[in-house]
Amino acid sequence: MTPRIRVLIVDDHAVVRRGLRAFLDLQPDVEVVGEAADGASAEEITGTVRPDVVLIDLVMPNTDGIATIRRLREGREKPTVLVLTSFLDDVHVFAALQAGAAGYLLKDVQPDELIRAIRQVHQGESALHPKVAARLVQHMAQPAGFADFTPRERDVLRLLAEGFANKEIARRLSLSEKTVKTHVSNILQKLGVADRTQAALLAVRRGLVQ
Amino acid sequence: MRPRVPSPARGGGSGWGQRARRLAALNEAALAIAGDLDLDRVLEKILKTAAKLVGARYGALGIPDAEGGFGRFLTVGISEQRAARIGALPRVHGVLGALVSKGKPIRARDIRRHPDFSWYPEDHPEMVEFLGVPIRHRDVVLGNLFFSGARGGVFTAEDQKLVEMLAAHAGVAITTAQLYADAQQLAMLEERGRVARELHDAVSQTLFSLVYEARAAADGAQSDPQASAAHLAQVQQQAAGALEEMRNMVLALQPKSLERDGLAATLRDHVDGLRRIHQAAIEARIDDGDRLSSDEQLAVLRIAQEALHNAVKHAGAVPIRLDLRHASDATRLVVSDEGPGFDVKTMARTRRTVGLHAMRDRAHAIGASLTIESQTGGGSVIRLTLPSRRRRSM
Repeated sequence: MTPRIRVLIVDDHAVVRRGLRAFLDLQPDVEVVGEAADGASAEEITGTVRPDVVLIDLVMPNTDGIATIRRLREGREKPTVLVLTSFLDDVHVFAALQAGAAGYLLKDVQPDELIRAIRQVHQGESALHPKVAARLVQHMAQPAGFADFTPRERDVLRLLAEGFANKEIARRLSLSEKTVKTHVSNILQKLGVADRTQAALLAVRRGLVQ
Repeated sequence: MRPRVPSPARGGGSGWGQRARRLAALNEAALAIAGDLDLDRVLEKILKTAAKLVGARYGALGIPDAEGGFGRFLTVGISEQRAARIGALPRVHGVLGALVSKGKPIRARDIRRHPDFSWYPEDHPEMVEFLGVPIRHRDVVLGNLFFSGARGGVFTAEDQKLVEMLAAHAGVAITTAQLYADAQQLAMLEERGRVARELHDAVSQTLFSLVYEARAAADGAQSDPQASAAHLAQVQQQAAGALEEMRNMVLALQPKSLERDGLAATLRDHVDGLRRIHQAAIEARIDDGDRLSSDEQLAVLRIAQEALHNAVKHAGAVPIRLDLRHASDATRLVVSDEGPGFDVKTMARTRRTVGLHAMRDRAHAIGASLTIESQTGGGSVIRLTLPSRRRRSM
């Protein structure tokens, strides 16, 4: 008999850990070897229970989910990391995958899909929620590039990436604040992000601004 | 340039005496402006003071909007009928546009000869002398302040200096009001974000977990009925918990109502709201108990709300205290703040006095006494005393 997949559940909500455990405990090929409520204890427990797969939420108190994934992957045990979270935005998705997550699921995933994903990532495949996959494909096919922005939007994006507030951007470009606001919301939409911090990060990462 | 023309219309007297009077008027305006968050009232005060100081028959204060018009346009010397005949507000072009775009004062004996002058609309007074200054804060031009119809025949360099000083005050007032409005907007967005977060944190996590617990119960039904029953019990418990959480959240989000929740709960809810939305430091001690009739409860609530509203608006970030006590002889409400205070006697008829009048009327209607103690620089205390029914009937 092949050894069972050792799973560590990391989520700050006790009720979520409980539900996941109830279901996973009944799977013949899975063994839940531990639970953690934040990133630090996840790393600590990983050192002792040596899980194959860490099922982890990205947003937890006192935890930088992305950094936790990176450290888990760089540590001695190198468990496979499967993200299970409520957040679907490009910054979280791309950062988690870049940090070494093998899969990214959303908290609307049905039990059958979850267990399939755990098996897949354990075998070295990846597992993405359809919405996450769609985002990835879209960005591979046509990431918002320099040409997608009007010259004015590029000006605004450049100042935004330097951390200026709308008022200051308006002043520097001699535009009204209202106009700047419109430009900013167009930029957010084109980049597919929810706020200006994400826009700034993404713009820098994609080389849209210096 | 040209010599200063003394103007008998401005009060005459010696140059020093006149200058002192003008400085006093300027100072008075500046003090009245400070600390007032009602922008329209501040701007009106600035405009009227400036018009009086420079002896102008006509004056206007304009703040451009983003669409080439004026979002705010206040005038003196133009009656409403006349304004109606002139029709649309001026656009930001011509001389008025130049004030905004170039950000430099314009003083002219005859504005119609100015290179940027275009035309006067029909029914517009034929204005000749002109004094206009931009209103700015730091480097940003926010609007303009301009005058015509000089009672002294011309506007002098000193007039220009006076108007520039008042324009600087207007700049600060506009910026402050804008920041205040931004903060309000931000507070509202944060409030919405908070609701979304709470919903997410509480209920959606439980529902997600329920799916898995229920599945575990179903999967184990054949092989391990006992464990399956335990999972089902858990499902029931979690569902009940989610229901409870949801109900509490809806209740917490719903504005409290006097009839349903009583005075204490409604007042506490109101205080919580002010704390969140205005970041107000309110210390509240509110007795429970429903000794009051519904009319009395309503009056006490409205008076407390008005007093808190005044305190939050005028006292700014300083601590505010609210006490509501039911003693055997009377119910007492005290709202105090350590803000700038105001002079109860000489106060102009502002929104604040209107509010104070309304509070007095309400107190009177339920047979309570209301005292307002305040002095400029000394905070304010509003005291409502409602004798208990037994006492009143004695």
